[in-house]
Amino acid sequence: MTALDPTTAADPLSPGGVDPVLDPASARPQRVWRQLHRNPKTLVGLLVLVPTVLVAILAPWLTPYPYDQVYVGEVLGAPDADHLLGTDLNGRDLLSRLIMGTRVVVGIPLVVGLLTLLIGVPVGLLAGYLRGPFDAVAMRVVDIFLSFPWLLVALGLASVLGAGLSTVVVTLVVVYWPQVARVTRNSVIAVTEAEYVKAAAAIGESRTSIVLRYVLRNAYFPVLVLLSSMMAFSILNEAGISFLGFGIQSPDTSWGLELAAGSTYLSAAPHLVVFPGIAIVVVVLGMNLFADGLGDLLSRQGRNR
Amino acid sequence: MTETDVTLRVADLRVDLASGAQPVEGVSFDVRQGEMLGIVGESGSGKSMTLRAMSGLLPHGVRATVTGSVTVAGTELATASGRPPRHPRVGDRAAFGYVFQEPLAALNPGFTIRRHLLEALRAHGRLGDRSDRHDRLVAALADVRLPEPERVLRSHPHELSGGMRQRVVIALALIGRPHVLLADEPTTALDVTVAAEVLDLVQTLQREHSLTSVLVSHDLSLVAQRCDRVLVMYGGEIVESGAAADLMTSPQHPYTQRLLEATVDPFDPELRRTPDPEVESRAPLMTAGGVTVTYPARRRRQDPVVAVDGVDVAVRAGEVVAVVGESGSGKSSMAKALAGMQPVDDGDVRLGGRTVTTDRRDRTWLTGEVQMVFQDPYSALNPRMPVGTAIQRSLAIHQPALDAASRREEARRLLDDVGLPRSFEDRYPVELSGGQRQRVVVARALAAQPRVLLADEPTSALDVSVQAQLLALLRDLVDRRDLGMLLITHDFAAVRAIADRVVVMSRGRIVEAAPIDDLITTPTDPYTRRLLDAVPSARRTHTTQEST
Repeated sequence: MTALDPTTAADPLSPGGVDPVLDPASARPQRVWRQLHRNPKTLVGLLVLVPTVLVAILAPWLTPYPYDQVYVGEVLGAPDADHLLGTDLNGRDLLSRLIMGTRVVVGIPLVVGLLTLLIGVPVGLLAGYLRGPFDAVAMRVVDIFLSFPWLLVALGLASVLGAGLSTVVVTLVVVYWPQVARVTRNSVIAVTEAEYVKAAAAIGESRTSIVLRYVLRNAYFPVLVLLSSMMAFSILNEAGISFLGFGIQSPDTSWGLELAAGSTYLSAAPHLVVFPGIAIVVVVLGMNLFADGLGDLLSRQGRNR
Repeated sequence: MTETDVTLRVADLRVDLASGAQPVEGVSFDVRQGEMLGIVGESGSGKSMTLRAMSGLLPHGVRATVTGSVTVAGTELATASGRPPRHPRVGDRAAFGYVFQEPLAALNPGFTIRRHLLEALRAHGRLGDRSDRHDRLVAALADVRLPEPERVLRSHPHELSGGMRQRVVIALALIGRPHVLLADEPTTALDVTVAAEVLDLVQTLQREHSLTSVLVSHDLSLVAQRCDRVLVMYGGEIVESGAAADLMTSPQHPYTQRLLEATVDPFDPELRRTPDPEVESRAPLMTAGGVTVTYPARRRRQDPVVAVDGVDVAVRAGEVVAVVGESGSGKSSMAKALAGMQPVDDGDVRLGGRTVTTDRRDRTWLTGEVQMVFQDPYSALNPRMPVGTAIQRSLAIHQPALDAASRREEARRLLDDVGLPRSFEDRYPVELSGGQRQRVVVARALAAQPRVLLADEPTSALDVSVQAQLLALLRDLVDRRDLGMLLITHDFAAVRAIADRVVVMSRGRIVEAAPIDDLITTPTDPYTRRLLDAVPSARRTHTTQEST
């Protein structure tokens, strides 16, 4: 009976045997590397994101000039050996300003992402698990919030809070949390139907325990994927809001602000638009690739067969 | 066997997947004109892959190279593209007709049966003259013995029963006048009595149309009963082939022997179970008295559906009571009522002096008394929780006095109890086979130290050899721990293997309740007899004569 011994019989349903990615026995660094190798999107995304974060952290030490130092006589200067990316309207070094702007590019998605999760996930989780009146009310509120155009929200908030970083953050959280709530709810509903959630009730798990240990643990992947692409969009939105003048104000800096300031002098000093533009495109692309790769990875891991 | 006799010849068929796996490793066989060949094997044996590869129906998206030759009625099917063409034709007839496992999946829910048949006629270039087209459609349905073919033509798939759908699928398969009818687990999704009827039909059609057919199944006794010759597949190869009768009486290959050993024939007289008088004298542990479960009507002015209608069941410590019935018999609703997962409209379920309710405040008590083993081990475990943790969760709820270290130790002991190595505690469900997962589910149930185990079709998702092991484990646990067990199933082989008493349900009522030996040898209710007659068995012949 050896071949039918339950402990040694290979799983007939997965001819490949144990999945090396999911096998906790295989060493961790090796596992991560294999995953990245199989999934070049994530790798490329990381190649963009990791340096960006490093630059943001080390920004004050990396800038060749103080970012708000005005060099009179070098207004709208083209890139040269002294100012690698040229100078802006006020004669400030563009490279230094972009390097400082990296802090906004890294900070905004993190703060917005965190706040969005803190509001959207609990609402979606309760709505999806409890259903009934709470679900109905919560989802109507979500519908109302979803119908706000971000531009209008920014305009309204700017008149209350004044233009600045806080307006950007609050606008984005107001615009994003309903999406997170809705995706969480739908994912929770799908997971709650699963047999293992009923099985959890059958072994006597409490409702809190079912929600946290069984439902949330299996429902968060779509939320994570949404969140990572939302974080990429938040960079674009920040640029947009700052471009319109509701966001960050000079002498502080962000990539969107530089783009906006430069757009007036497109023909005289194209470098003011080109370099911030390239920076935004590269980082957003990197984040999107990373988000995409993460989605692939998680959808593979979430399976039960 | 002369060359002209051979309708289907498969020579050295190989399937190489892009992933490097070889699900089919050089399979060769002949099927004679008018013969029914059976292919038996467990999941992963390559039996379905063989059928699909030779007929050009590999699942969409599977990147594979198919080599070898497939000859139908003397014509070799083109394999230039590395896989046989889809819907190959030989002469003016289709090479193959297909009948698949799940009839509902084979039919388009938005099309009427008429449209399905018309599509099939068109695909085979047999639309023909408009004037007699309707008559030909009716004839096609009458051919598969569908009653009221006119009404069926107008119906959508969801309006038909499972058996009727499968007849429609067979009718569709026959429209291209195939040389060979390929049937892959055609009755697995059907109730036993319906399954028997469908197979009877295939055999009748085979005689009438002198059809050649290949029947793929995991069920050795079914194949042996229906087919002339049987191939046994294991690991992508044919390990044994021969006449069905020879295979059943003197299997040569060790795998066939094991398979045969694991196949319980409910009518095997050697399986007689001697009742333990000590157990029989015990007072019942759990008693259901006059339990009635109704579901509200789906539409207004319809009567509510009575799923369970005044059912009495009792189970003692140390015995296994089987509740047997076909789908719709109310056995699953009964199980839910017993587990306190379904409110009871009338009657009550009593356990240890208390009444079972759906009240949330009673859950901890109830789940400490009654634990369940679920039908599908693939979905009963949290995919994100290592199996050791899954067992420890149950311990944390029902034995709160244990500290983390002793919980861990106890979980390991439970793994021992269900025959799994302790090293499995860190594994995730996806790394375990179906049988192993079901053992984890059992261990998790035992962690609550229940007195009653409720098993709802615990083996139906498992391979035959694994089924036998799991049933043996359950019986052993019942005996060792003096558990009372209710086994809800449609499978008489499982019942025969471990049950002491049987309750047969039909349309929400109990039609017969008897000790297992009496039920098998002298069933009194006509419905029970029909159920037993439908069970594929090599040994039944004399028993039915006794009973009918």
